[in-house]
Amino acid sequence: MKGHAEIREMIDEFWRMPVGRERIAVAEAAIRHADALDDPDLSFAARLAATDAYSGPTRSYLRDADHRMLVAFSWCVAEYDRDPSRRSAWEVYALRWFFKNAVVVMRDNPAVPLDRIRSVLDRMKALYQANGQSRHAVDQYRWELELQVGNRAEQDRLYDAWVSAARDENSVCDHWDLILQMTHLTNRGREEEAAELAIPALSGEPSCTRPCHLLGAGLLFLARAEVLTEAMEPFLRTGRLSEAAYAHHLAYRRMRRAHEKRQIAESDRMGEIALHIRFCAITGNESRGLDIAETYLDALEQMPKPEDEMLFSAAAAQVLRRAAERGRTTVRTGGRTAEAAEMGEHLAERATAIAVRFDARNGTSTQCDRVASWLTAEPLTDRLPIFPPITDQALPQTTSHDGSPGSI
Amino acid sequence: MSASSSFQVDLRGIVDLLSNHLYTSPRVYIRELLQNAIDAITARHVFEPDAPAWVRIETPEHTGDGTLRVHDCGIGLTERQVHELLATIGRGSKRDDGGFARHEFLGQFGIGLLSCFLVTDEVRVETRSADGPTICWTGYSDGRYSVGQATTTRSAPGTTVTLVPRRGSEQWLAAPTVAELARLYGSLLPFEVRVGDTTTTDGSLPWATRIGEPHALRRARLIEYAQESLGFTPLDVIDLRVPQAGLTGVAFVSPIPVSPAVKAAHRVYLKRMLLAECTEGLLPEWAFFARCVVDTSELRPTASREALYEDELLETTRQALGDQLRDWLARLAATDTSRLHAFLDVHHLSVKALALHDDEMLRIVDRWWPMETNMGAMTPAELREHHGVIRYCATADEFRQVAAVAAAQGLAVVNGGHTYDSQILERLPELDEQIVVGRLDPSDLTTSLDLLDPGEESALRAFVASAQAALDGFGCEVVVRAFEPAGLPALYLIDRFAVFAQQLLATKERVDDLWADVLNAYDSIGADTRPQLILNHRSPLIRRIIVLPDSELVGLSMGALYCQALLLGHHPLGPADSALLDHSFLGLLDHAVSGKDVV
Repeated sequence: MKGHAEIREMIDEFWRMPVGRERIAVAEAAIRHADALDDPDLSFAARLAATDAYSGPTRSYLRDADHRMLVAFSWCVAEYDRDPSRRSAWEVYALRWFFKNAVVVMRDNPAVPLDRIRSVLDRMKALYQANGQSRHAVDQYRWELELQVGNRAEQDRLYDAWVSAARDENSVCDHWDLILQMTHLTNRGREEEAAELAIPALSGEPSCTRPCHLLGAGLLFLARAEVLTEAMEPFLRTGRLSEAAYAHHLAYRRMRRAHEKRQIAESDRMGEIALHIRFCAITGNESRGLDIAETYLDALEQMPKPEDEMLFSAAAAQVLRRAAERGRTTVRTGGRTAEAAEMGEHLAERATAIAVRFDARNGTSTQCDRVASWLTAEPLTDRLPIFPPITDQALPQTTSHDGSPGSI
Repeated sequence: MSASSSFQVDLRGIVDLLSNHLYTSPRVYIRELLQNAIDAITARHVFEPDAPAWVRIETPEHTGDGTLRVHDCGIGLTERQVHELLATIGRGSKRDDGGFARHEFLGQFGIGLLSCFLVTDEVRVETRSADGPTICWTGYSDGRYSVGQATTTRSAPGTTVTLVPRRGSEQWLAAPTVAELARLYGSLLPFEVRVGDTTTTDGSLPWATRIGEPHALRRARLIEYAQESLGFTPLDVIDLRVPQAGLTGVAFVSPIPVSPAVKAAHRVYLKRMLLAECTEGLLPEWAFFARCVVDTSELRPTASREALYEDELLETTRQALGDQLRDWLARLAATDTSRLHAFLDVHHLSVKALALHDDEMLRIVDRWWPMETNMGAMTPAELREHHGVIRYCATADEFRQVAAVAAAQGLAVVNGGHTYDSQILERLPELDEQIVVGRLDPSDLTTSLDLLDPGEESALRAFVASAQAALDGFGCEVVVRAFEPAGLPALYLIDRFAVFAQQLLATKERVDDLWADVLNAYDSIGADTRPQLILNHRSPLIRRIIVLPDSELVGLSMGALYCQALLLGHHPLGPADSALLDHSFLGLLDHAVSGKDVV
């Protein structure tokens, strides 16, 4: 039997551990032992740890991580509501932060009803307001939901609200914020503004004023690669062709390396990989797009997030169909060879099925429309060469990049 | 002739920027002055390879008038260049967003001079280039400057920078401080630097091979270097070389375990000038057992020149260095197993982290790293040799539940709860298809225990029903099997699905309807699984309990067995369990001392 001190030590050890599957066992054990002592404060601390352990890219090694996270988190919320005064400032901060994780996970699961998600967002807002926090985080996460729903008026209203709100300790880090800005602008046809935001990422690693993660538990965040991935299409559509090619080359290579070194699971970031496949398809690089799709096809079976699975399936389906038309009739997957056309059809159905579930939950046709447009994507340019620069001096010459004085 | 005018930019603002936002301490001014001098000499040697090469710093003790003077015999500046320099400073230094170092001499010179204003309000530069006139420039921190031909002519090309101390900053110009800083930053500089009469340069890189020096002697010299400058005696010394980054150096293997969370602190020299003593990001994350001392000519510093800029070259370098450390480990495994063991004892976490994605390291772990099993410590290779299939429990808790009984069954199980062990075992089949690795859930153990034959099974039905009834409130399933050791009457097994099922139930009761709805949206994997209390039919005690006529006694016995099984498996006892323990214990005690017959 473990006593209070031992369990506290377990929880302290948890927060010292690097992010990974080992943490989960420690947190789960802490919960079991804390519950046995019938000490709600200790159980709360253990469940906060568990919430963190289940958050992030855990799907690849724990199928029901999201469910477990919500179980732990909702317990914490209930305990907090029961007596808010018992919680320390740090615990309340953690609770505010984890509300964001909860909302994301719920949004990603088409089985969770829309009104429940909106209610949880209301609860989140109430908590933030009660604590006198900035509206940035709440409005941003509301916006992300409305983006998926496709409610344009709400998207615009909420975007305006969060883009100018003060960032605080509850906010995502600068470059993720940047990516979300770009997402909105691209979604609303403001590609020029989106492209401008991404230009600094071409020349170097964006620096961050805030951590990307909660409480010191580092998640690998491919900051520059993610910004550049989001930037590819805006660059392309605003005529910045060499920037677009460079962005694709750099970002894909960075992600591929992270996957090869198993720093992150291949099924993590499939949404970004999907963007790369699509980029290849719309720049006349279908063969390359197919190569990328082939590389990641097996990872589809390793529990990616539904939206990622949907996008990857759509992008891969499109290149597979094209390939089949052009004579590349087979594709390697799961250690065997499959018919490209057949695989393409299967993936198209798979993408559509997920889109249907999201749309049914949201009451709109946004995701089905999105998948349909991806499945029928046509090249925007003639074949755009993708090659690495010979030296760093060969960076694309962009118009708004200047060495302004006083910028020591 | 002299002309007075003002900088177009408020120098105070720039100085403020430098000291508050760029440099971490005024002491960098020595580094900047040294860098200017070195660059000037290097530039001169391009045209005059046989020109002299020295830098002399005179502190107030030598100058007599309280000033600090830095003399170099470098290329000097022409009058036109001095004016260009002023224009450069006036415009502000042209730096890219990323703060790349400029290879242009003038730009660097300007920044170097500006850093002097961290410790002084007046800087005089007297310089002569080739056969040109001696130019004198004086600048003040309030923005005034004057420039013109000097009254006295320098006898040779070169530059002298004179700093007039500011009140309160005298200690920065004092001889001991200046000498210490010159040695700190410039001990590896290629040209001789003297502060007063003290030479502060060593003349060569510590790891440079000396002609005719035996390998063993070089190694001893480097170990001594580590002891003196880094403060520890390394387990081993590894040569490093990355031509693409113009990098040479050594890595020292720490003799004590290093926490992965501690930021690695490497000493990096940039073109033989110290960049930083505690640079992060030079090695890959798994290489936290090594501290490096390197010199590089191509890696870029950040704007403050106190850290390395995170760009492609640094990433390539990092990978190359990682490869060299890894190759060293592989060589150890092949040629020096005692040193490998010494290394693994201290740094197994590093190696295991690496083994997660590196096959060579995985082989090393497989062959050399003993893991905890229920049959003693064994390397995975040994385990395979003696037992064939590798079975592991994912957590220490699960291992504890099954260890003893599995061993009694002759089943070898690895405690995969140690960091990385589970993942490493799962990866082993990638080395060799013949290797079979499987995770053992506690409930899997049940299936490996012997069933009773159908006759015995049906005879026990009534007993099992009453035993189950006694424990119904505790949510576990009563099952009878036959297993070793016979001395163990009961075993409690709970796998993680059952644990989660319990928690889900408990949580749904605590949270409000909104959250309950959310939780219900998810399918529960294995929601029906319950923990199991497995009664051992081989245990004489169990056989006696089975035939007890007194149902109250059966109930008390079941309660006692249940609690004992919980304790034995290191499971936590909740309040209800503790109450049952009390009740059973006292109840049985009562029976035992009341004189009733216990069959």
